[in-house]
Amino acid sequence: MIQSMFILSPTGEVLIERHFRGTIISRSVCDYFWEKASKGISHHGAVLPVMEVPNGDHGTVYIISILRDGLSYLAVIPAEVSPLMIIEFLHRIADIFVDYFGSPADESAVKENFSIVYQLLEEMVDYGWPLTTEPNALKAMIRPPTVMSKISAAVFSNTNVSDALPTGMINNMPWRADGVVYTQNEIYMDIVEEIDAIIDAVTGNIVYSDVSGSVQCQCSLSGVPDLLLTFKDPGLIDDCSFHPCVRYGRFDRDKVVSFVPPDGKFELMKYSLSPDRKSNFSPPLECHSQWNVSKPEDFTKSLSSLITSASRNSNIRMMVEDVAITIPLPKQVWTATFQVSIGSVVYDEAGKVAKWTLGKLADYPNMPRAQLTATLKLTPPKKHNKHDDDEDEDEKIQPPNLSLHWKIPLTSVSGLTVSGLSITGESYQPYKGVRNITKSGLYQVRYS
Amino acid sequence: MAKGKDGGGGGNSNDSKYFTTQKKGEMHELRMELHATEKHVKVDAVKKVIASMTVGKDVSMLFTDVLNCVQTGNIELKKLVYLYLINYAKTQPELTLLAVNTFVKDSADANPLIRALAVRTMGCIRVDRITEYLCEPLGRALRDDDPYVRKTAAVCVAKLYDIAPELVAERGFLDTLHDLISDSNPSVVANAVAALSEIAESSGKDVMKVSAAVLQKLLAALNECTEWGQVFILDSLAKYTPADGREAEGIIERVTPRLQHANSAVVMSAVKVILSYMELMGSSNIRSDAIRSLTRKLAPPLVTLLNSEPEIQYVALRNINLIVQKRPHILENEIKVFFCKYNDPIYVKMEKLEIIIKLVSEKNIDQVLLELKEYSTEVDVDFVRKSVSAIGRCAVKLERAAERCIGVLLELIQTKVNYVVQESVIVIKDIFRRYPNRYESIIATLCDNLDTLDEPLAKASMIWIIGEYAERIDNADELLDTFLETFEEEDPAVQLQLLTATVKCFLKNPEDTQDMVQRVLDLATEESDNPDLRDRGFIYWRLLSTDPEAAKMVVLGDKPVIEDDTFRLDPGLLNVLIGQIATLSSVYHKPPEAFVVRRAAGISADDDEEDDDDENYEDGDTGEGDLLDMGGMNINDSRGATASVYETKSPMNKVCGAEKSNGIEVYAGFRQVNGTIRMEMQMNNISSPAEIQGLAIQLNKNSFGLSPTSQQISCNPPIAPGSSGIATVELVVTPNMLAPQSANQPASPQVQIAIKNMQTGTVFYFAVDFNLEALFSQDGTMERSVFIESWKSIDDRNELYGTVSDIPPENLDIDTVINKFKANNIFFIARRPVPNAEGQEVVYFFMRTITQMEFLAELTFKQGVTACKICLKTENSSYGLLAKQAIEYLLRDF
Repeated sequence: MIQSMFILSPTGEVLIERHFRGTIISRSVCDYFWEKASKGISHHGAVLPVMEVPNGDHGTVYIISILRDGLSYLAVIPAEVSPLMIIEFLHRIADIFVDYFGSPADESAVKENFSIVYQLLEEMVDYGWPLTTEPNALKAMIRPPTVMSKISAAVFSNTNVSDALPTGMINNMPWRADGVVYTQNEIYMDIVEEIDAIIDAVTGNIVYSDVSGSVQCQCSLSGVPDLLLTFKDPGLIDDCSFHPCVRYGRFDRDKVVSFVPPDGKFELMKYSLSPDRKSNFSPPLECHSQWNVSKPEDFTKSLSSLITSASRNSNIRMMVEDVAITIPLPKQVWTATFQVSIGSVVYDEAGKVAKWTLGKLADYPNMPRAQLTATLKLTPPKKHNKHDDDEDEDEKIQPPNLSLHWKIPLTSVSGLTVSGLSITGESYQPYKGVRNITKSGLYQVRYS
Repeated sequence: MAKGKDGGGGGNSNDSKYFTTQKKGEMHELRMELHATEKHVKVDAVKKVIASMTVGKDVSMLFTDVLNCVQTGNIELKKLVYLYLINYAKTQPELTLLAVNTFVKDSADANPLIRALAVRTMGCIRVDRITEYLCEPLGRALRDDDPYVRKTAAVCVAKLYDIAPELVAERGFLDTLHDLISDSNPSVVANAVAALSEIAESSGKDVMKVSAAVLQKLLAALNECTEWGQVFILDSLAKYTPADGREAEGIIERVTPRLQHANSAVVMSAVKVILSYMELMGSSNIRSDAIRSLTRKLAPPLVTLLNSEPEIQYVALRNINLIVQKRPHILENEIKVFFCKYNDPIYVKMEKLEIIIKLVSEKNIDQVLLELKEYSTEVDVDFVRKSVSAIGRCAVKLERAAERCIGVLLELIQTKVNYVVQESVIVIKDIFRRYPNRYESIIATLCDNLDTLDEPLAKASMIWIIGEYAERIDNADELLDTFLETFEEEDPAVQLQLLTATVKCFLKNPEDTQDMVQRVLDLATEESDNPDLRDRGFIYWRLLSTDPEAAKMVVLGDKPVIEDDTFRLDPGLLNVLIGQIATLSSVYHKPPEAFVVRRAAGISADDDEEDDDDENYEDGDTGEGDLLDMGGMNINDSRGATASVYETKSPMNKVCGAEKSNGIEVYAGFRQVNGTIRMEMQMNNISSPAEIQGLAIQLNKNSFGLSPTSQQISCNPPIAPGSSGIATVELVVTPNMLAPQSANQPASPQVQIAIKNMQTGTVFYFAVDFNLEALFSQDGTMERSVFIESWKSIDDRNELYGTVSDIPPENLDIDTVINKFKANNIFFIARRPVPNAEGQEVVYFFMRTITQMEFLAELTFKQGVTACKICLKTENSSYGLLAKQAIEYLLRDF
């Protein structure tokens, strides 16, 4: 299990260090890790999540790491272990930090709350084993920092540790606290479906697509409500994974989701669609790029332009929101200026990436295509390979592969809809809100 | 004064103030604050102390002051103090004792949170004298009314076992843990399982025995405990061997819903249980239907894992790599999910490529080629190269698609991107070797790109192609000639290829290339320092000068066709690794022993008795000085007299279950008898349909170069179903059976063995750990003076230290040990009492293997202690650990 844990800042400084098993692992393992990691960053790829590290004279240890909000979370492992468990656990710790300190849980958040961080680690880990990881149970023991608690701590010297044992921890529903009371009982569910796709830019065909969905809940219900969620066509769901509160047996048998919800925000389930449903959608946006390369005698003054245009697919009768297009420009680009017909552009000089934010593409006919014109100056080619000169100039620059971001509210690409949400075990009738959202996952338009 | 300051500090809204640097006077100020009467001043002060501690400052001088704060009803303060105590207990053990009373008192507090906290903290303080006080409260906590306290106590037993295993046994805590498996609270069950598994792993004893009754409880708890508990339970289920196919199926049914869990660790551990048990389900028609439907159920959860965080994807992919080798059907239709996304981290992309190559088939090759071509235009050089190489591997794997693959490679060569061209040339060479005389038409295109090649491997590949197809390239000799101009600067690999290619060229076209071949042979034999190159040069020279026809047969002979290496893990190892899914060994694709060995080394080094180890180290140093002074040594006369009483024994272990070998259970071990190494096997014919009469055996290359003298084993009398018998295989050491060793890795003790049952035709594989003492040579004696010289000459880095505990009392008598060791060819050199340490004695031993590896050992015994320290020196550092284990085994065994 975990022998030691370190949290490193984005510059490799050790922020948090904790040893769970008596033996103290030297910080030199972090140096070793950081050396690899910083190399990895310059090599546009992250560091291997499982790494063998020499530990001074004490043989080898393994470092299992994750990267979240710029912080590297390192678990030092001396012996055989389930690496997935460690990775999941590190992510859980990071999730809890976000829950406590807000997003992003970065260097300053950890520094500002280091004593809570230590208390949380103390509660979450015992002897290198995961102990309490349910946010509700943790919050019952260690109160999250709020403006009020900070003031009251200053004035009345109250502490943020509660001295009662949370009841939820010891019953069979560790995710739900006892005695929750709301004056307004409500539950909201978002069925979010993300489309990962690769679209051929020339033909507009879908090369690859995958839809993954999730049900996000925001639950404020008193007491211990028992909920039953039914879908109109559960056959659409191919594979799914559930929050621990869901009774698998019921889903397996009756294809209904029966559960006692945790309090607050949580992800009820994730699902993927049966293969025949996956490619059954039409791309909501049409997007094209075009290069105009002018080639004057003197290469240093060569100007090129890239025109990218986008429009809503006429088959889609819905509003497309939050549209943004990321355009990675080729390495040869020296300077770039942009003109757009709608929205705004942010250009990252170092990474040579332009992000064009278009916002809403409304649903009225004959809307003109949105257009971006980039005027580019290219760096002159290196003067080697003299006899290859003519070929070099012909070196064609391909239009860049575009990544698209978009969101269509109130639609479901799969057609999955909720047919009912019923509550038993409590007498009140809560307000229930269910809505569908479809949005882009990794959605790319590709030239090749 | 101090109070006013702190009031201000408390008003500050965040903790970053604690990170401000400390001035010298601040220690004093902190001390004042720790003694303040106001609670919040104290809390703030302890926070500051801990902040200093976390940034690496030494605040141990405040120990007593911090300890003072522990007597409080304030939980936050208590926790902070406990945190501090755990960190400094090691350096200030005497002072920690002062806190014992508080711990004991807190462990009986009315608040379960405080009870649990006290037990937990006591377990973390690794000071021997604390553990004595721990037992009482721990015993109570294990039976506490509150499940939170019970589950904390369960973990605490594992902590205690790490510090004082004998105390755990004495107090019967292991039995209590077993009782907790039947606890009403699933979290308690899960923690008890976790603690027992950990103890089982660290002690090597099977304390986590899963019986039928325990099995039912585990399955019941599986549904209700936390996700982490589910992982522990599933992992211990994976170690259980079901009695028959029906039981296996029953358990699989109970485990299958776990595949739907949101936690990837639960999913992967469930996959492990299912895959391991599937092996046992047999192969009748009904069963194969069941297996098919299981296979269908496994695919979606594996695919879902690829939608998780990249770190999870990486581990999942490494495991999927094993799964597709074992059961390719599971994911045969899912190749698309392994296509790389542009923002996947590079390590995920690399692993996905591996899976793509494993899943590529004639059905999906066109799609795959499109993808690979796309990847070849990306920015990351390593990824691009691997993609190009993947295209080649597809060609080698799928004969019918080879032409399409070559087409793509040619397109890529046209891009003229330097590294793409080089990588393409390298894989095209492989394609040529796989399909000789089929695609030579593209040689012209390759030759156009000669100038771009600047990497040795690419150059060597190109030169090989030129040499191999010299007769079809008009100007082959000219091309080689241009390479020859820079012969001396080239990499050895290129030089070797140039030499061979020139000779090939000469044999095919002797008229024009006479001068050239002469020049190359001169360069290779006279100018070069490289022995390989010189040797090959001389061989060619003699062949060409004595018998050109023979030279043709040798140099231009048919080459063995290269194979598609996609499914390349050894089947035996693969089976082992499938049982290890969701562990580190499945990530590294190395057998689990590799990790156990390291851990053992790690533990002996971070032992509690680290201080003692240091003493030992000094002992070793002074020992050298003393050895030179021969006067102080006793020479043992009594040896020889009783030596013959001791026989060598081979430690028999179960190496193969009946399910793997169609009904034969095998126990095996190694020993040396009269100078021959023997493998002894006990075979239990559980359910093999026929009598076992004749077997054929084959060994894989191993770290010791062992191979059988005869491949046939006959069992006389034959072993009828239900009975058992012994078979002995004589082994010899041959250098060509020696597996390549990497210098700094400990050699694997594993010997992989395949056995064919001649009656049924069944072939089965298993691995046995070799015990090095069977390799020790009978003529391993050494002069004392030579010993001393060797001891001094071996670098300290090649030393291994360790402590063997739990030695049976018989083996504590040094004379007995000497005789026993002698029977195992470990020879006594000298013994002497340790100066200034009463009751301690050092004994020196020497052993030499048949393969001429030498080991020097120093054993330190202390009267009345059932342990012994070992210090071992050797130049063959990779085998040192095995030699040390051999000594440990002999010391423990009687």
